[in-house]
Amino acid sequence: MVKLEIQGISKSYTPGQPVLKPIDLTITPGEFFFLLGPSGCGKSTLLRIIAGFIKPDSGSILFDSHNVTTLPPEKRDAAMVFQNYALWPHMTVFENVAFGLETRDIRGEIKRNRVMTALEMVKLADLAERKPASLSGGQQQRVALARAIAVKPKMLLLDEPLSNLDAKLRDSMRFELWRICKDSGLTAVYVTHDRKEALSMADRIAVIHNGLIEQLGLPEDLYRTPNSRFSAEFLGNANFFPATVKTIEKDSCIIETPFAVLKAVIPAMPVRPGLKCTAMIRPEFLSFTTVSAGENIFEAELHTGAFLGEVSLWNIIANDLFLTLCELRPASRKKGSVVKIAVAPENIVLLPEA
Amino acid sequence: MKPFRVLTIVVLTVFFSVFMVLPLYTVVSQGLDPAIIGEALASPVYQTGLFNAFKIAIVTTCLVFLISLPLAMLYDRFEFPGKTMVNMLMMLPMILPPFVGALGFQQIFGHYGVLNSALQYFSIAPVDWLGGEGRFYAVCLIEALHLYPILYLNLVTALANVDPSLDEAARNLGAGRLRRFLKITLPLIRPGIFAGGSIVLIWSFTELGTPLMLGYNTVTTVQIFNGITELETNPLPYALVVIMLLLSAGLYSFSRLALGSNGSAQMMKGSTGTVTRTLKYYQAWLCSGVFALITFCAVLPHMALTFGAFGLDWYGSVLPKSYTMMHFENALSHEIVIPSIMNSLKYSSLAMLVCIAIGLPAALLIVRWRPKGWQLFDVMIMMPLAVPGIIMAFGYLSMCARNPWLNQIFDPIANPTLLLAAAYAMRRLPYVVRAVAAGLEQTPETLEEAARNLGASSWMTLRRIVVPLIGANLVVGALFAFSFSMLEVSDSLILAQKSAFYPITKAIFELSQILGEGSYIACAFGLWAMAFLACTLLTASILLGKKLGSLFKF
Repeated sequence: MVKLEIQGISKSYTPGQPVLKPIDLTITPGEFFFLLGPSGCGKSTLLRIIAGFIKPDSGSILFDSHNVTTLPPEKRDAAMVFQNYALWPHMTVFENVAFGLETRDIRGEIKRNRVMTALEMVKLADLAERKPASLSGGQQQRVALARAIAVKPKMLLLDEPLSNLDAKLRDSMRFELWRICKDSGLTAVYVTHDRKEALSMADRIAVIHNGLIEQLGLPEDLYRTPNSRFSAEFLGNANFFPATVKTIEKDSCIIETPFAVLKAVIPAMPVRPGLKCTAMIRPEFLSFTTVSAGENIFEAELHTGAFLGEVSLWNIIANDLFLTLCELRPASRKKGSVVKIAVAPENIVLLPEA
Repeated sequence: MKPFRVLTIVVLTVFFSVFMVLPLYTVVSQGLDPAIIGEALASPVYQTGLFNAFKIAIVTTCLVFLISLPLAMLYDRFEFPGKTMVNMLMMLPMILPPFVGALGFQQIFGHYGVLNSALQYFSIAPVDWLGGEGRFYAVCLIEALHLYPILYLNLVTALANVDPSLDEAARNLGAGRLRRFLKITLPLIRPGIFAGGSIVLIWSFTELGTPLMLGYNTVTTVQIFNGITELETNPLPYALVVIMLLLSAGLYSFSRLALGSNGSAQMMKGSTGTVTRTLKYYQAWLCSGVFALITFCAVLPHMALTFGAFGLDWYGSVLPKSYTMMHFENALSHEIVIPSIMNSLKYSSLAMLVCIAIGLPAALLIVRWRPKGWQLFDVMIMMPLAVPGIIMAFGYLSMCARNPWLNQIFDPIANPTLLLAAAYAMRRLPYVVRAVAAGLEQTPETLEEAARNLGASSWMTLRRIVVPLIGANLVVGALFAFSFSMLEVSDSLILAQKSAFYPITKAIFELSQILGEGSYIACAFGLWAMAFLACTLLTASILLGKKLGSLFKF
């Protein structure tokens, strides 16, 4: 297990158009760390810089305080699981997994044992003599993982390893991947654009946007209290509306919105009375209530709804403002009816005005 | 930069400097004298030679288009019986150098050949097919029947890359068949037309073997060949070579200007592939018939060569009067035959080794490493396709004549082994690099990165990952380099000057000049060469499949 330090890493492919602006980040030993962001945000570039495939324009990469920035990929001992798995088609599963061991001069029985242990870990020991082309996508993905962990690397780098799998297999592979990484006790850096993947597996997440870390934190914190509209939108569905801070109390503030005066918790950003900002509420934090009046209860008209089985998504109109509400255990409701909606103060997030 | 990459760049630079730049420079510096060029251009004999060379190039290219375009369209658009075999059949004409095909052609169209014998059988007076302008059209026809597969393969690849929805969109907007072809298909396959067409144009403009074998001597290439013996005293061949080089460059530039834009090709990436139509029973068989007819015509010289090799007293009759193995025995017992086979094996093996040793790193350089200025190497590697063989061969000769230090190493008169091997390697290098580059382009780079990531050095990655993955392409490249070297014409005719060093092609040419049995022995020898190249192309076709056409591109 190693500590990874990224110090002031930047990269441009064309002058004046940086893919990565100077980034600083520390990943603790044994951490399962996610780089999350949309396509083209620079997350894969950062991963490939850590692996040594791309030279940064500036900055350093440190493994356990040892500067590896100028080391070639083969000297870094940071095994990577590629998006397309990169299994060598001319070798069997066994030979694929054994390759990294052979480069380390591990031969004979020890090599065999290490390969089989890795394959057993991914539950593919029976397929050791098969060629990659005869395996399913999920099996190929597991071989790629076995190949990486067989060498007992200092660090595991995963470049969207589940993106080529279908949705069902992806769901089942998530836990398996997490289990294997945790069992191996490796420091892992995982690149993805899939928020569900990141939220369900990560110890910590860095949301990358335009070559910069937009937000860094625990999955739940990021989801509940995003620090920007981008983070809020990227991590899940959200209702945004304008708000003005009216008064500030001890640990809360009163805000005026187009449809009601609401109480919200004090956000991380500095606030003062009169501050115009954007308020955000996740659809599942809005709920129907039978209480007719009270704190953070407002009236709305039920506009349209979509029944999705375990939940229903409702579009409600509160004083001409469209909001989305996600109802667990959906009840039968009449479109066009006037309903009362409640929201807890801690579920209203104030963000800088867009 | 890593030492291996530096070494590759140095080796490529030296190789191209000595075997491409220096010979061209020597020829140009000798021949680029306005007075001498003026003298050459003022000579009515040379004027006629140039005019004829142009005529051959234009007529051959037109013939090639007339044959290839309909065939490629039929192949692309329709399903018909035997379609799976068609691309293999299309390679048949290439299994014989056209100048050897000329031997067979003479058996068919000669005054006492097959055709006239058939006419006489029906009491029709014989025609002097190869007399007067007939010889010119014979040269064009032989070259067209040899070269059309190059354009055909390029067109088939280009058509396969055209997204069918583009044609459907035009159809949806009411465009008829002809309009769609002219406005949509033709502009989109322009890069393919250029790639194949420019090779055919320059190849036929500078072809030496066919006119030489058919005795069509008033053409520039033959005039240059005949001028070699008086090189020390007569500077006109130099001027002719420079004129030919400039005209070749002009023809290439013109065709690139007219056809070479690849903007459309860029847009076609991610296309969904061709949708073929099923024809009615008789229409489908008609399609097959067209392919069969063209293939039959194309292999007629090969058939005649085969009959010539086995036939006895084939004179004034449709088929030989009897058959014998005597010509093969005579061929083997002729004093120049066995040494020429050994010589060709030696030269070609050396050339193949040079091609692989240089071609693999060169392909890595232009596909993977891409250092600053890699495009220059890409252009250099493809140059031998654009510079005519006769000009290169002439360049080597004059390079040795003008540089004593080079003459000590490569002296073509004392021993042309090294020079011929290098010349063959230079001519075939584009095919090897193309074949290897195609393999590299089809292999995801992540496979190499995965190896590096697991601790493999560059050398280990090359040995354990790259070479096994592109093994088929390497084998095809090596096969092409070897077999085309075995049947190389221009370099062989010009650089091998002593009979002890004759390669196969020069031996065939010399044998064909012997009166009496000579042409039959040459036929027997040519048949062996044909079988050899057939095996090579068959192997390459099996290994590369549909991608075979990519080897015949600029």
